[in-house]
Amino acid sequence: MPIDDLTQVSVQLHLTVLAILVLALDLVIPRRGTWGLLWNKLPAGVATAGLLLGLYPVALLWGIGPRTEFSGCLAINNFVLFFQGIFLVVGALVILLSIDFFRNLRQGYNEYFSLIVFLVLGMTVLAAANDLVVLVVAFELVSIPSYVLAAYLRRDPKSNEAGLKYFLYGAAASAMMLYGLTIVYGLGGTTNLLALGEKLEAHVIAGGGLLAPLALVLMGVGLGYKIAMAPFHAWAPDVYEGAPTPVTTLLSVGPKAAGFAIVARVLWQLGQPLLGGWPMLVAILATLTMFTGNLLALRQTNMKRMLAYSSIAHAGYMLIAVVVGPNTEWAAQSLVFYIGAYVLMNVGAFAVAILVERNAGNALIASYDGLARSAPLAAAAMGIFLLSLTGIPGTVGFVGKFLLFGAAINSQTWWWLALVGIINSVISLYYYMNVVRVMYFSKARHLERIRWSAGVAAVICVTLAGTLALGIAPMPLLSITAHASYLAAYF
Amino acid sequence: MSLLHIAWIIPILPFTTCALLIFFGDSLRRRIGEAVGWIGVAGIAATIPLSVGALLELLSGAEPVDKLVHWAAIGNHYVAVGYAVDPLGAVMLSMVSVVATCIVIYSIGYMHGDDGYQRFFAYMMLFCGSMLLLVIANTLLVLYVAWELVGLCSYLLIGFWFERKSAADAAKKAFITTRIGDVGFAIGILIIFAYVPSLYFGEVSAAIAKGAIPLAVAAVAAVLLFCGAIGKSAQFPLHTWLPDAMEGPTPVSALIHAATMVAAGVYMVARLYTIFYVPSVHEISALWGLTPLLVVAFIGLITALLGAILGVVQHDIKRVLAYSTISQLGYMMCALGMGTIGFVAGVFHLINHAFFKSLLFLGSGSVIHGCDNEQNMWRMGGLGKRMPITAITFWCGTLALAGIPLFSGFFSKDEIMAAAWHNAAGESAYWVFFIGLELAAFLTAFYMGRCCYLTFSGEPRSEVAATAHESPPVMTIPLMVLAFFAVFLGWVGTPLVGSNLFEHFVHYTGPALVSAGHITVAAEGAASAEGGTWIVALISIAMALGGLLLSAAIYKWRVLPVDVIKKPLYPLYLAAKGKFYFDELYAYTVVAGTLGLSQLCRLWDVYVIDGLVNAVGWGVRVIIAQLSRLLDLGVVDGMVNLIGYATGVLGEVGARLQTGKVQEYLAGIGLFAGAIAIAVFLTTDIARPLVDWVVQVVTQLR
Repeated sequence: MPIDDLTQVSVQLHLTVLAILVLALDLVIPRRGTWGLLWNKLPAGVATAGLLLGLYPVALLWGIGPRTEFSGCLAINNFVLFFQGIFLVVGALVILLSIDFFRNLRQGYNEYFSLIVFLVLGMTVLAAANDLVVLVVAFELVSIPSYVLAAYLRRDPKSNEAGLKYFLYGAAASAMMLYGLTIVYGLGGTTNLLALGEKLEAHVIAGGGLLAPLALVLMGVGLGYKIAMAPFHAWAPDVYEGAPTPVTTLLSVGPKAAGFAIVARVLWQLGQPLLGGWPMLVAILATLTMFTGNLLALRQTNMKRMLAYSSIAHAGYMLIAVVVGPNTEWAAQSLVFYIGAYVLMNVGAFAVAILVERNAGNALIASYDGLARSAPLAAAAMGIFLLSLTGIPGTVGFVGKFLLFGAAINSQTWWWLALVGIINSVISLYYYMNVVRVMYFSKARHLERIRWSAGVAAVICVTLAGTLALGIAPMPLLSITAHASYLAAYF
Repeated sequence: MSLLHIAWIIPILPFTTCALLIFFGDSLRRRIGEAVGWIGVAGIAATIPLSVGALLELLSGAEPVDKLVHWAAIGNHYVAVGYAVDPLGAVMLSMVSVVATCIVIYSIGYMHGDDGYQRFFAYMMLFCGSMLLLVIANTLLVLYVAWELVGLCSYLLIGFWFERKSAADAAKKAFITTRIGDVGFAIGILIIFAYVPSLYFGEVSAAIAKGAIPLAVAAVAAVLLFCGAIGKSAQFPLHTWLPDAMEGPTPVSALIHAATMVAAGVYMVARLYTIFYVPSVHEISALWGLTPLLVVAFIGLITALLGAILGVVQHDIKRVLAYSTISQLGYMMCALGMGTIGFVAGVFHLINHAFFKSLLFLGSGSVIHGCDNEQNMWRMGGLGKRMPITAITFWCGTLALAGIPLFSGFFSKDEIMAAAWHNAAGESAYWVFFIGLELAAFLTAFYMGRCCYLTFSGEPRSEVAATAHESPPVMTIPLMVLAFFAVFLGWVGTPLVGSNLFEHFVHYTGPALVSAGHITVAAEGAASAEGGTWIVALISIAMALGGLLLSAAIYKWRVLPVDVIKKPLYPLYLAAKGKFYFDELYAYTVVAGTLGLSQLCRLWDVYVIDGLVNAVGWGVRVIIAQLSRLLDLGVVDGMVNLIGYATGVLGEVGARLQTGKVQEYLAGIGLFAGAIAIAVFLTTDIARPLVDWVVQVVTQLR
């Protein structure tokens, strides 16, 4: 293996070293005495700084691809690198949200941070996977830390339940996916995604058969579970509600984004040979996902559960871009742009939710009564994040939806998906604005005053600035995503 | 660093101040009291050096600046935003920042003690920023955004005392009426967007000059854009909102409804003059055989006369000024409709008018302030002795507005008359403009004289007038500053001292590529009638003095009874008292129509849509209920909790699937995957024989 190859995986190498370093710091620093203070702070700080430092190798590799490394196992291109950058930022933001949240956790406080770094590592591999075996390994590398993190509050039955449900559901879905991948391997005779495309083409020309569509459906189960696509979304509300809220934040953006990276690459690569009508199938599932998420969100009284359904709905919006496909102008760009926008506004909304939950002791929407008076800044920030999730102009969510629906209309075939998306945005307005109504117009006042923590405040500031600035002047993100979506860059 | 190149900072200064006052206004007021108003003053005063500096740089020969950046780019499409400062823009910028500063300083005195003191200054800053943004916009997109922002500020400030129903109603009326014009404006922009996606003024002009936009389309787009100006600048037939807008605080009337926002319509026509001008010189008809410029000129003429007539019969001092503003805006529009010489005259009048009209409004505010919120002129009188500074400055504004020689209004109004005269010399149909505008000039002098004599001369006619007091210096000093401009500003555009400096600086440069042979409307007239200027000036002076003398004879010396003019024109008087019944007309047509339509929609909604929805919902419920009952019987565990159907069928089905039981979820994976696989299988070629067979069986059964 030439040493040159190693620079191509410098992001992953960096993360591996970082995760071990964080673990080691936990062991090395004494818990008690004068070092005790450091024990509480240093690993988290190192993990945050290290994750952000990971953006440097990403920037170095930017524009080098498209190419594949390690005998075609990993893809290096701007599309993948954009996702890797997103994961690093998400990881750092989630650690900032967690520092205060897990303050009273005496056991495994610092392992938590190293688990997050491991999860980020898994996502960077998953996004880049160009080989079925690597895909499976990365898939589990994302899943297993997720299960552990969801169950991290060991004394909280709900958290335990969340972890167990997530694990069982994930195991079943992975098994189905694995079965599908086995069939694909059997049909194509190779595990390399690039080569598979051509081999499967030959198989179809030779007469095809029922196995190919079956393989696609089975793979779809596993990948659909990862992005919480209906009808494989059932785990999401339960897990999101039960998991510690910073972990919910992470699950709602990280693995979902990683899932989309691999869904897009697999479907755009293998969809056509496996099942000619895959776009229609995914279009129907996208419609189902949007309606499921939005209609079920209407009735929720728990903030975390509401945001869980909302994140299902957003997976539906993003699937529009997958359906429209790489050959339509804007489509790939709209997918990566929307992922970026979604990370900003969703992490922001969860940050405020964490703030309120820490002060109120629960995650009920009723706790937001009169928040505008007890914490005007937090309420205003929440309002803006929710407006952005709805897709109101002036926020980054609007630009994202504009691109998505614009791509659908531009493709001509899939214009009706834009219509479905718009109808769903209108439905979502109802439950998002319900929170605003509670915060601003409710006579009651649930919280007297709010105690801020530095990490949460920092995350809210960053995401709020991003949501507004990119909503008013989207050009910086637009130009980056334009480079992340060149047609040649998928493989 | 050239000031021109940092012109984009100009609107940001008031915007920042606005944000500061919005977020921290309350606590600042608690801490520093009413000094918070001076933060607002600082926010707008800081723009003066930048605007005036840019103006001076242009005067000393610097190149105009016109910058464009991509705001959003998707594929090959891009939307541009940017800013431009050319002589026209620089003159506007300077006018807006100076007038606004005077008015904001004045507001500190006028709004003293008001509950919403800091809110007032926040809104004013929002307005100033939006207006300055409108001036430096160089794409239709930014122009439109700023255009709507100033409309919003107008709404917020007219309804500033929203607890008064009349104020809230007036705000609503102003907003909705201007929106009607804005619909046309938006459609005009979209028509242009179809040809020039960047919406950049430079590209639009070039496209029209090169013929990339067909002239017939450009003519229609011009008239649609002008609809926006009709609404914003209160032109006939959408002028009815402006008098009602006087419900707002007087500084608002001065700034928004006299000097700046209402002039935005005029400025927009001047800014986009190519769209109006090129189709007109090619004599392309836009509406009923009229070229776009003739449409502008006619609307302007009608408005000028209408406003002047209505101004004569008002009792409320602010309403006199409101109708006067409508009338003067009509003058400007009419001037712009007169071609390139009219362009200079119209813009010049716009600048002069801003100064003397804001002076008059602030003067009326001072009077109202002194008379304990009395606005009826018949309950004033003799205020000249009690409020000398207000009276003298008010007279300065009046003489400027009436067009008395050597005051600023004289020069610009005279130029408008000259433009009409020149056009009339070229084509005799243009006499209607000249005669109409001279008539309006006579009426202007008359109603302003009436207003001044009723307010300041004679004996006090009420308690409040007898005990009136002069306003504090924070109010009178802005009056004096504005009075200075009202008296002397005209000299920059006078032909008396050599060449006309203003015309030399601000004039229509034309689209670069218009072939010279086509310019027929104005240029020929200008060439053939250069000699008539003195006659025009003499007629104008006669009209102004005649109007003033007549009003003095009736209202000061009382040598003529009012009936002398009221009797012979009694039908006209009655109609004018009823404001020509525009409000009634709109109430019975537009408003009643809208209400009727919404009533129809409601009925349609209630009986047809809701009926359908209910029917479908009922059907679905019945089916689902039956299905669920069967399911209940079949599936022993699980779906027992039929909670009722109150909260919607779909949500219910979905929620029922979300049991929280992981074994059911896992079964779900298998079931759904199987269902999808079967569905997919049925669409493949392999399933074709099976599907055909089923179809065959079914058809045989039938």
